[in-house]
Amino acid sequence: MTSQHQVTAPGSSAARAAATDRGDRTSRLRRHGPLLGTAVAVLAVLAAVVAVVGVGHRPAGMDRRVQDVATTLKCPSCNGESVAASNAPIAQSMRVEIRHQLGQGRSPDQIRSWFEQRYGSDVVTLPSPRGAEVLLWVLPGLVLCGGAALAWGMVRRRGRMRGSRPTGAAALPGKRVAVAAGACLAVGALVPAVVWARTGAGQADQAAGAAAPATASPNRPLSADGWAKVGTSLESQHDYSGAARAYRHALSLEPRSAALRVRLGFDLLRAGRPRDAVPVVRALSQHKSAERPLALLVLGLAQRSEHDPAANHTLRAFLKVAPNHPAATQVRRLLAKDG
Amino acid sequence: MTARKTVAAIAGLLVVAVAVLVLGSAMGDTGHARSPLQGHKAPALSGTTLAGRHYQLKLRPGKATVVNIWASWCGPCREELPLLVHTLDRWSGRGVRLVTIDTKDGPVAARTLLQEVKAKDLLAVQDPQGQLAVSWGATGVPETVVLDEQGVVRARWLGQVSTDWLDRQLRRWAPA
Repeated sequence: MTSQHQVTAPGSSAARAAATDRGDRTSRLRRHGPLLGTAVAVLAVLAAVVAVVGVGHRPAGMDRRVQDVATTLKCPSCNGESVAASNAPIAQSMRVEIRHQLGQGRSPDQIRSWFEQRYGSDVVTLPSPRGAEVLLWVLPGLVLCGGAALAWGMVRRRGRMRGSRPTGAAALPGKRVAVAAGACLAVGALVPAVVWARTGAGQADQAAGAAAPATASPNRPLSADGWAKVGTSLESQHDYSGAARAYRHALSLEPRSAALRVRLGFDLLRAGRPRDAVPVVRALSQHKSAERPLALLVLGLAQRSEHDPAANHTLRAFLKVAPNHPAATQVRRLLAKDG
Repeated sequence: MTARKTVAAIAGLLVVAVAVLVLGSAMGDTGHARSPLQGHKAPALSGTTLAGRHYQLKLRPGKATVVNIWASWCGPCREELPLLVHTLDRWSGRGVRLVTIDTKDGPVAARTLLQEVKAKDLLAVQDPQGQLAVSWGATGVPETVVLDEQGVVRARWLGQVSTDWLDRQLRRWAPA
């Protein structure tokens, strides 16, 4: 193995040779720089296209059939998203319904017609958006290729004209070609990037909108009630950790709210954090209040998850104070199972 | 036309287009909305209620029906439920019934909300996957649909319903 670094004396022939070599490299880089840049841009865009389109990645069987039908339906509460692409609660429910109906042997046309009866003809996206999607990716690609061809032509032209610097009118077409090539490359690379970013952002917005339909303006701090609404929204998305965080915020603004405390306890329990739920509801379970039954229920279930021997005692206390509570039957079943 | 005028005309058109889009989207969010189901027989409504009983919506001559779709995680539903219960209490003697669909919700959270808003006796059919709401053409929650005594869909309200609208619809569609 040889060393990568060599020490040369300044002014020596070796140093002069090295300087000449460096000059040649700089000159080559200057000549081929735009070409390299174009190649890198093309590769980056191709990589983005492959990443987004996910070549060869299609769900199989029933999932694919559901997706095929969902792609032809518009999400009624979204802006231009298909039922397949949207994360809105209504789109999720529509996918469940599509699966259900496909399972019953109904054809895609029958299913589309069923949705049309309920949501109107606008719910069906025909012709298939697949054609438009392909166009969306092909057109910028063509523009990008055009830009690359122009840049390549410009590099070759410069190579031929090296040594005789064009001036005035002769220089103008070259500049125009450079501007056109730059514009083509920029548009070709930017359009997919912007569309990709917007699609991602749209879906994120949709998810956030679905998660928190009743949140206040981001410029205004949320009230306890606002945080509680965010908590209930996150519960609906089964994001119990997020809901617990929202209820903690609400509780920090209204520390005396027993209802918020119970909701926080419930969500900690559902988030798989029974140990954290116990101290939240313990005090509440010991004093007479409207929320005491629920506090006892949360405490008992949390203790049970933690294999605390006090769990059965707490759950019996819950049954004593709320024998007709909707959860009472299930609690009785749990206690009977424990013997 | 000079270049400056062309630019000004394009800018003007863009402003108008943006204004139309913004106004259109703002006006489309809530309120009285025509349903494709309007004038047609109401879809089936059956399932397990929050009280644990089976329920099936059956046509009863002489009874108009208000169907409300809600969820405990929806802020406006929380405010709307007491109003619905109160309004329907006033109309119950005149052949109006209230049936609700509790969609994409957990029964514990739903029951807790009903207790909080003092509506624990509300008839609420559970719809954990949201399929019932979809079969009624819902686009979100809350939504309210009014059926006449023949079980035909007559009116729909998207978002939090108002007492005025509900009273107006019931005066029109409830049995005389």
